[in-house]
Amino acid sequence: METIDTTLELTRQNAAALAPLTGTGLPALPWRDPHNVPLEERRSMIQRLETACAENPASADLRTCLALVHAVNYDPQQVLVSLEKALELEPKHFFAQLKLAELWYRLRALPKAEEEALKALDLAQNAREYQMARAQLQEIRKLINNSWARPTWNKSMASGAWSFVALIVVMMVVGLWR
Amino acid sequence: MKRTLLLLTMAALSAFTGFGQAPAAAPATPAPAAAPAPPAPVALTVDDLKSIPVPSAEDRAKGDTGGDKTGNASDVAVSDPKAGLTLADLVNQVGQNKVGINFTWTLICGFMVMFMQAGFALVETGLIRAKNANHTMMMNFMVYGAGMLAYWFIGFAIQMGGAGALANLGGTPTLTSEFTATVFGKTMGFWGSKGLMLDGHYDVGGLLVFLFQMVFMDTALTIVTGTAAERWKFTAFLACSVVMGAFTYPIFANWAWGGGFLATLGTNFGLGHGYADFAGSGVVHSVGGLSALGMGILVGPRLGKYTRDGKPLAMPGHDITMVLAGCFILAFGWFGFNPGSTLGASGNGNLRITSVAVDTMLAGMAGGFVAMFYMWFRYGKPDASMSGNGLLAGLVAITAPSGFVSTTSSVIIGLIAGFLVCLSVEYVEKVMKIDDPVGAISVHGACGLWGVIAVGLFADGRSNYGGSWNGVPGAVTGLFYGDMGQLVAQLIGVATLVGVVFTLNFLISWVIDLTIGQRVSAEVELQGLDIPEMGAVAYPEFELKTM
Repeated sequence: METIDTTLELTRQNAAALAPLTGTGLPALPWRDPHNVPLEERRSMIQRLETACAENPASADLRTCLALVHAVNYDPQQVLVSLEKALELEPKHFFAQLKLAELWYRLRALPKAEEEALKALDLAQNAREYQMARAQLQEIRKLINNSWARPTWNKSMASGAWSFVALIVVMMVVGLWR
Repeated sequence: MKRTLLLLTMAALSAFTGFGQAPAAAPATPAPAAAPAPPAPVALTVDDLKSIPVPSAEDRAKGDTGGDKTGNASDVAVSDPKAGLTLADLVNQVGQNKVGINFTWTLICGFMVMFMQAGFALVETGLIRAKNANHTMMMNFMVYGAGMLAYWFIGFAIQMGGAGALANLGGTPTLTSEFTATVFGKTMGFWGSKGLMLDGHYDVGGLLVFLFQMVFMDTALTIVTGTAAERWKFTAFLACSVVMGAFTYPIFANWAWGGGFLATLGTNFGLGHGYADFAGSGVVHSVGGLSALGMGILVGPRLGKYTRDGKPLAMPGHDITMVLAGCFILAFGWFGFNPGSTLGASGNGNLRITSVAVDTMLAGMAGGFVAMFYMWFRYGKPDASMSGNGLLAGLVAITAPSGFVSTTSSVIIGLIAGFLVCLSVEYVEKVMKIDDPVGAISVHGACGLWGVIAVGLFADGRSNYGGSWNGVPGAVTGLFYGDMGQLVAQLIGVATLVGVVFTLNFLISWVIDLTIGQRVSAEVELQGLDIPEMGAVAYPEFELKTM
């Protein structure tokens, strides 16, 4: 609770508070095991962050924070909404982009995860960010190579459907003509 | 002058030899000799029977190395040892041999159909992520028991309680109670009531019918587990399986196979031979596929399957070798499914089992080939899982027509099924936004309905299983061979499946959703169902690379 309060306060005062700490390149967010965060605390965090987002509608950082808390709360749909909103506000937000790639990776939508990780790689501003994006991309590609999936249905069905209709018509004509 | 002489000579020669004449009425070849008179019947007497040589005890003691001493007159059961072998014993033995062959055939086919559960388990498990493998395997394993007990308890009575005697299996009429009602001035059956818990049903033929129908019912149930895989709560799965095995499946099976109103569309309304479904494209596969459709709608897509704008994303399976091995097991089991549906191999036209078997294998592979080429042309690679789905689609589609169509028709039916399944899988995912990890809705639902319609088109009127089908004399004949009524009967069957079976099953599943819930929590789904639901992962010794 203390952690999130501190974060909120910092964010309210200055979004730059989430900027990389000197020397590490990482935001000042300590890590907690999601399994150990009680439900009430998660709900409370979400509520506070939503309030903060409403008060600071232009803050992509806050949206990214909200996405992380939604992730802890096992709500991938809301994570997606928050991260996409963050990227809408700030298209070059590295962490939002990285987390979006991670979300798709965790959901095992691997081609999509690869696509988003490549975007994160393009947004990296320093060696640390570049290394993080590269490591994630490597992990995604390793998983792609070790699994298999049907093709993504990304082509129009029209030609197939018309061919099928033609086949049925020919079948009916030939069958009845005989 | 020379030319005129030549022409005259040729005309004379031709007149003499018959060259250039119109064919004579009489055949040019010599008339065949009169057919030899059939041999006079030989009267077989009891004395003849007693004089049949049998191997002596000494000969038997030496063993039968040549294989020509085992099985002879001494093996015929004798009703009265004092009187010895009689003509009655002989005739009874012949009859029992016929029924014995039919029993053996039906039992072996039933065992093969039961083994199809293993095929379904492998296909479904291979198509999902490793973190859910134990859960999916367990669903496919326990659906057998849950469905079986529900079917034994009440389902069999509903389905076959009024089916009457089956001549192939000896014809003991123990299943004689069908609830009927008069609709449009005609008596129609709706459900049976004899054979509850097989009580009072200690009859060898009836028990064989139970075994064979039970494994069919289980096939329908296991279809649903594929569509709802990776997010179906195990308790809800058990509840749905019990209800489906007890009520949903048996009711439609009664209408089609147990003497219900669809089977009597021919006798009541003159619509061909009534709804004809040889081995269950409609009864088994469409019922399973449409139930899977309802379940897919209820449980919703897996987390991450769709982007926010509704585009479907490909999600990885974990073992394609498992998938294709499962497809092969299913293709093997289908030789029990379709040819076994004659319920016999002897008498009543049952030797058509060869035609049924050949139709089955041709349609299956035709479907597999079309699906492979479809994916190859559209997406650049011959996708393995869709090729497997194409094979299954062809098999599903030929299941209803297999007893009534020619080999050419079976290939056409399989080709269309292979094409249809590819379109349908894409349509279900892209347009209907239903997440079906294994393609069960398309393979079993869409292609099952196509199989039902195909009977009404392609049945060639040459099959004759004991002289009638559904009580209508003659052979089942489709539209392309002159009987429009059969197609109408099949379309009524399709309407019943979609309108009644789908709706009924959806409502029951919805009630279960309201009470115990159909879907696991997001936390469980993200973690994988193996640990939270089953308590153990499927592959504990290995690193889960594709979870």
